[in-house]
Amino acid sequence: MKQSVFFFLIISLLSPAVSMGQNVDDVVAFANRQFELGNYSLASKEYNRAFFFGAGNKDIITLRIADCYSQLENYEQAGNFYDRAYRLSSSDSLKNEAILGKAFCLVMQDKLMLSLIELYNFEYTASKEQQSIYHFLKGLTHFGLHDDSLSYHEFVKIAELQTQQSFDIEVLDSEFEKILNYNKRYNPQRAYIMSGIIPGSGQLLTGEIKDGLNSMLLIGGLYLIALRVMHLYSFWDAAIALFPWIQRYHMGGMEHSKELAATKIDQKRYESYLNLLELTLPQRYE
Amino acid sequence: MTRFINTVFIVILFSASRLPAQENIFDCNNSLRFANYLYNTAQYELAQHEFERLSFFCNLNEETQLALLKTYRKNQQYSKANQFFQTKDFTRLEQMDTDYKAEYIRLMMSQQLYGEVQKAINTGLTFPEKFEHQLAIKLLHKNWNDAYNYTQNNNIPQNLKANTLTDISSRAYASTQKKPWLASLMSVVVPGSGKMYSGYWGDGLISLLFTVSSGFFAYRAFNRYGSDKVYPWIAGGLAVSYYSANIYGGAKAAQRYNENLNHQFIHETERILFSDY
Repeated sequence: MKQSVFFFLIISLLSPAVSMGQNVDDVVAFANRQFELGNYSLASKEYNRAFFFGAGNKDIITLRIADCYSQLENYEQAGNFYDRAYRLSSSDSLKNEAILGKAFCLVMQDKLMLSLIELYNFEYTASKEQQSIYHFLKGLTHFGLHDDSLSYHEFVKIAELQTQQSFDIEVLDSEFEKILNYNKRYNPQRAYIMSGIIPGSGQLLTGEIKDGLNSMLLIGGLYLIALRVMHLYSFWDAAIALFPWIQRYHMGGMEHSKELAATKIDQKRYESYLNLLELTLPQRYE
Repeated sequence: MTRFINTVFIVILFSASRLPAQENIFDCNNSLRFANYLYNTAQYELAQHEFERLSFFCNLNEETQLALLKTYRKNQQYSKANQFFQTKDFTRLEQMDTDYKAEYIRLMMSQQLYGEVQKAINTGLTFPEKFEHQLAIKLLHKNWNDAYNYTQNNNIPQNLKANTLTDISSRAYASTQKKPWLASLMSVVVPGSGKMYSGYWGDGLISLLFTVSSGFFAYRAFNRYGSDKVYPWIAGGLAVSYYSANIYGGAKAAQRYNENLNHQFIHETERILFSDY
């Protein structure tokens, strides 16, 4: 009887210690699982919980929170957590991860100069994968800043880093050659001058046939009317009556052709950008 | 033997009692700490979830309730926060804690319900930064004179927000607004001068050139060809349309100038007022 009472007491006393709730490690494991499943909002909350209640590896957890926010496209918040992860970590590899993550967020926010500044903190003793991403982000940033030759060199370095060449360097060359040609072919200044000499020709240069013919007919018609007025009345009559209209449409057409050329270059650059992404995109961003 | 077993049991019992019971990180107290951490690190969406969980599982105290209301506002889920305040009239609101009253004002201001805040001020609701809010409402309603007089007739609290808003009201009061009727009148007398008066010198000059030259052209056409022909009438119509457009353009230019100026003051007011919301 006495023994059974003792047993009862022991079980009662041990039960709170044995029947444990979730501990911090369980929370991290749960967060990891949610991250793998792509439930980034829930994962970020659980990583935060683990961080707050004293889980080890605070730098890794902070990095994971940043990754969650990056996946959720909340780049500003992600950037804050990458900064924290950088400060919390003493490992070069993790610091590099934080830099790459932050730089990516800045690229996504179109803060290209800031992204470039961020990348200057990158330690070049990193793994090949990190180096590839570093060059990829730098290439992307330079491309966005219209520094095409610098961008090209960064993309070439990605190919150089691969033991098994991941992409054909000739394809990269031809893509950048195309970019160079677009800039020459659709030179906005040239389109502007052409439209000045022959109305509508600048638009035709950019492939906008309808716009070009419209401008040609309209301005040509105005000039014909002006000639007719000159013939019937006087030069000054024609000038006063039709100069404002001719000036409005002729100058407007020149400006318009310049804008069209610039837009065309942007369109072509965007196509090239997509091709470059397809060619050089690191696995983690796929 | 029995004594030995008993002793062993007692030792085990004692050791077991020394075992630290594991902390439950999901209990009310820890959840509250965690929710506050999320709020303080600006993770408002996650904070809102945690506060809502707390409100379901635990008894919300006033502080937690207020924090939940704040997260609603931060997440721009105004209707949820409004629900809480809708049940309270100003008498009940006045009896509430100052932080609640401040939150009510911020909630209304964030939704641009300036009329509600004005009503609260008129009914004598006491809340922090009353001077700043009253002044800001006047500025946001573009009542520059009222705003300036308000700063002249009241004691200005010595803080950055109040001082900056006062400075904005002084500048807005001193700013010269362009009068659209004057711009129109000037354009009637000298074409283009209304635009020049509004600061658009280039536009004004072009307007002057076109109106004067088309007028001259019409005058010459009538002189030379008489009123029997169609041509002088076309030229005259052109001149009249330029002239009318110049008058309309003058008034519009003045309005545009005022809008730009006012927008600048309003933008500054919003930036200062909402800086610590």
